Amino acid sequence: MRLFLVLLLAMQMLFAFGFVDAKKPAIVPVEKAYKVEAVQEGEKVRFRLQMANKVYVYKKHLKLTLDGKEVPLTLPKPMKIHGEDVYEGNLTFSVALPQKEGIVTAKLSFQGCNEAGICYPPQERTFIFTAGAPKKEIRKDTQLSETESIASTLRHESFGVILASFFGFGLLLAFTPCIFPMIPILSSLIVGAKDMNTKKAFFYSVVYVLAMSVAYTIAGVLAGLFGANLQAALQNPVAITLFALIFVALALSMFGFYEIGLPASWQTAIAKRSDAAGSKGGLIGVAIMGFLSALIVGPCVAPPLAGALIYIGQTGDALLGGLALFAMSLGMGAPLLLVGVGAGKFMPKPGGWMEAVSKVFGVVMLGLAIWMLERILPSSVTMFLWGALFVGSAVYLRALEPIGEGAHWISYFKKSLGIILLIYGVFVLIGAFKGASTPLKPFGWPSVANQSAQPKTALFQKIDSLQELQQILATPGKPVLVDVTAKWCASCKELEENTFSDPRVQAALGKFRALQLDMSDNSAADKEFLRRFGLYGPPAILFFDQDGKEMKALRIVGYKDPESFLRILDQAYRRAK
Amino acid sequence: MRRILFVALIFSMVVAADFEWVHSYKEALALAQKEHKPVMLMITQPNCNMCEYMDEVAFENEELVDYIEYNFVPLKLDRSVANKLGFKDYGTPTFYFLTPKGKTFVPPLQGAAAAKVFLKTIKEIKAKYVAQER
Repeated sequence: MRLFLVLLLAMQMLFAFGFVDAKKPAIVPVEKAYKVEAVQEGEKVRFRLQMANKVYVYKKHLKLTLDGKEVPLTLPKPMKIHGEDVYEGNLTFSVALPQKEGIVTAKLSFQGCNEAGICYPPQERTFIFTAGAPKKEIRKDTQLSETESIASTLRHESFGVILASFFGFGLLLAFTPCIFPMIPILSSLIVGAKDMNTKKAFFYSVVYVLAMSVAYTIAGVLAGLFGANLQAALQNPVAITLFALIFVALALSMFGFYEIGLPASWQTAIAKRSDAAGSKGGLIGVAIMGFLSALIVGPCVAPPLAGALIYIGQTGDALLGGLALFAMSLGMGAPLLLVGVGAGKFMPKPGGWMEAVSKVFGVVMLGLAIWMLERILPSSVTMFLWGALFVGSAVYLRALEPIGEGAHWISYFKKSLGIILLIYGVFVLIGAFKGASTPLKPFGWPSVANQSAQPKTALFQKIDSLQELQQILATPGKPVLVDVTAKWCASCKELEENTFSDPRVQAALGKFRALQLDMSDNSAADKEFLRRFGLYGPPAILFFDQDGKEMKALRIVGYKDPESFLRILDQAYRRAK
Repeated sequence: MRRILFVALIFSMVVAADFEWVHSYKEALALAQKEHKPVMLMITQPNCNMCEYMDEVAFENEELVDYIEYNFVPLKLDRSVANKLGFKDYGTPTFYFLTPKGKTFVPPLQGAAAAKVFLKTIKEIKAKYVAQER
């Protein structure tokens, strides 16, 4: 009978239908067909589903869950199309929030069609509210930020496309500061190993990259599923000190104080079983270094990573999300393979040269150790260490000793290099006492000295918690911007040094109330802040309009150069009004 | 009398629905290769009344059904399957037309259409396919 009814009704519409070409955009895409707005009014939330012309939604497929529990909806009287109860135009309804303190996740799912002749795929929109909060909150879902559109790529693309595009994202990420520290680590592992050849070097690099990728994947999946950021958790003084100590130990072994390897008794035991086992000990070490490097040396949150994490968090599909992350890490590691093979191939024959190369890498290792310590030690101390490293290297290059008669030209070259290092080291030491914070600019640059003397304190106002932000948002004034940063975040440093130091950026930031949340110690308040905004770590920059509503589409995750940052700032300023 | 009418109605429905949907992409391409016909892929999803309209009204039109049967390999896929194969849609139904090698040769048709309109459009598509194959 129902079929008959449908048939009859549909017959009447027989000539109402016609095809719609992609060229004639009479059929609006689903994002434009349905716009959902949810406004919190005290204990209640009012939903408004706005439908485009000729678009309707089925009553029976309209469902709302609060924290996973379906709630009954009080809806107006529906109209009938093709024998189905549907709504057109604007649909408004309210629900009461559950009686509890804290965060409530609301999921609105619905499905409907366009009378032009097409039915849209099922939709789901997620909103987050704070129960018991007096503040009025409005969330719109019309636009997606870069990260969210990557998350939606994961939802809609085919498997091969996903893996390929994440591999591509990884390749791009390979040229960010997150990966740079891995280059000297891998090269020195290769240079430091015995009997190196190209094949073995390639093998070492593959093991390193695989271990790194596995670590990224595990950390990512855990972060996505549980919201706990393993990388951030490892950024504590103990882990960093231990890792810095490992670098120092490696450096000392490069200097020839001792050889790093398995204890002799183990080695002979393994050697008895197989001839090739000798290199296995080394490989395990390489794998461990690769694993730890990913977690401790360069923790980075970039748009593709955050996108994959959001996807895992929302769908619980750890398999696809994890595979995407794995593909991304392989992409990140691919250039490292070239580095590794290069290091193996161009390695000089064992002998005097070899020792010199090892020592250079030893110095690089010490540099890495200091760079790691910058995250937990005050800059005056690390500046002093940098100075000491430069001066020490100079002394080892015999910069302070006379050159004997008829010496080889190399001795002259070494001495010149040594003197340059010595002078630079002295400058850095002086800078350390003058309060400079980076060895790259021991005296600051003369031209920007005046501007950069004040910015770090004046540019951003520090906040520590979500409550503080909410208080600021509740007071009227200029639009608000929050920069989420941490000392251990390489991309945040890059933002600070390239983008925030740009005078144009500083001028534009003056139009905002610029806040900064430093989550270096990953405290409970920091975690709450991240959870509230669905972030997985620094760097991230959020914008709020004058009603205190986040402008999600403008949200920045990862590094942005001054030009693109200025463009976003400009947009944010115009849209905030 | 009423009984006879009912039987006649059922009979006419059964006879009219002459072509049979293929439900596997691979099978459809194999069949297309064998019979030298293009594939007509219809993307559907559950709860899609526009798809129901096509199945229950438009595809009951004898002229249209005959034309499809002789000129196309009809393939019906759920959008979850079709999207994985790389066929995108704004919604359902969406019709793709493919060569036996699985290449599209015209832009996809979006949405339902009445039998007459549909027939006219797929005739044009078939003509384009034939011209191209020469």
